[in-house]
Amino acid sequence: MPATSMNRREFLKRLGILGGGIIVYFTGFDRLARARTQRAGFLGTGIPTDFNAFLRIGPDNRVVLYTGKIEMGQSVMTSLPQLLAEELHADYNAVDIIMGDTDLCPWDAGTFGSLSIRYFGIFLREAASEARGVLLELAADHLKAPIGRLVTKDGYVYVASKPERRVSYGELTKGRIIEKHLNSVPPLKPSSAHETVGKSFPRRDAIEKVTGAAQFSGDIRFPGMLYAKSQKDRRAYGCPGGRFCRRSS
Amino acid sequence: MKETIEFKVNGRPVRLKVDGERTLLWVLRTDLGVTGPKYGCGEGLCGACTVLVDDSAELACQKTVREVAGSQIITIEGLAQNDRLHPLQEAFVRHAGFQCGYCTPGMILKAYGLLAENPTPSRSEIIAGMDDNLCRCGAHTRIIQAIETAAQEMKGGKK
Repeated sequence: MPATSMNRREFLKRLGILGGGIIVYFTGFDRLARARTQRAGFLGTGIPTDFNAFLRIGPDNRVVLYTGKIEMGQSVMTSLPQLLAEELHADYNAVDIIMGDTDLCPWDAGTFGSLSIRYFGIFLREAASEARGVLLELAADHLKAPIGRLVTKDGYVYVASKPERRVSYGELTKGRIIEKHLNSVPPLKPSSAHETVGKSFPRRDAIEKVTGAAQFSGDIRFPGMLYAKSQKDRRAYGCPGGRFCRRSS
Repeated sequence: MKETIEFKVNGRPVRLKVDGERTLLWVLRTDLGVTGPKYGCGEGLCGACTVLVDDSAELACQKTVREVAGSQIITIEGLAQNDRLHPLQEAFVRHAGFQCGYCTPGMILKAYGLLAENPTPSRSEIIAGMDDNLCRCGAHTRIIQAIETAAQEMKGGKK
């Protein structure tokens, strides 16, 4: 749902408190991106173009992925961080995910229709690729080497010929908020180059699901919460035992 | 009519003043806040509410709270001991024996009851034994693998 309670300035303030980071916005000016946005919009996952931060790199070099998608068994709590780590050239284990927090996560129409990877996943990969481009620019300055001679791996930028000359993503973004508007589709890794995507990782929600700690919506309890149940007249519906069943017309 | 009923839940004694005709499932979930046992169908057809009553896998939606007076109830929350997962829980993690996880508490406790009765079940005995527990995500084959793995490890003395 749209984050009506918070505007961009408020969001940036919160990020500042968290220690800054890179925010990638999609402006959707590119024809290809816009066509895709509209196509996705038709399927109910339209991505707004003004307020949509997908990731943040903290000063501790941990990456936070924000998504309006939720985990309901399709394993996106695990697979979306894989997508992000792949395109950002970050360590998969350094990627945290925040799902469905309407104060922080980009707008999303909902989690349905096998759209999380196929549609949201593309936007996420593009955001990660763009963020990596920004990090390379910052690193060129920091390491005093042209971008063409830099490589990125596991959350660090290295001088290819002198790997001891390196800087972490977190050091590059430390204390700063870098806003980047994405106007064209950034290059994505070909699948032949994938290192994190395509591998099986243990599900991040596994422990809570085998211990009963996982909270499903019916498990959430608030103080003073009331319970409601729909009641139907068993005679009118002609169902033995008052069970719900389809009334024949 | 309200009566005083005592039993243990995950080792903790509870004493409740309740209508003894209420189901164990809803007393656990609402009165005691133990939400590991899930409400699936409420009619004893899906197994999501399975708990252990004196080490036997039972459907909590089909038991009245009066029937379990004086019993030891173990729910999924009480299966891990001293922060160590039970071999069944470990095996479900290793094999990803779930997708959404809603049937998982019932699956694990049903398997617990199955292995208590038959520690070395064949694959077809596992399938037959788990027949009353439904998973609509499609994790069935991995659930069977997880139970096979756990049976192996428990045979070796692991609990």
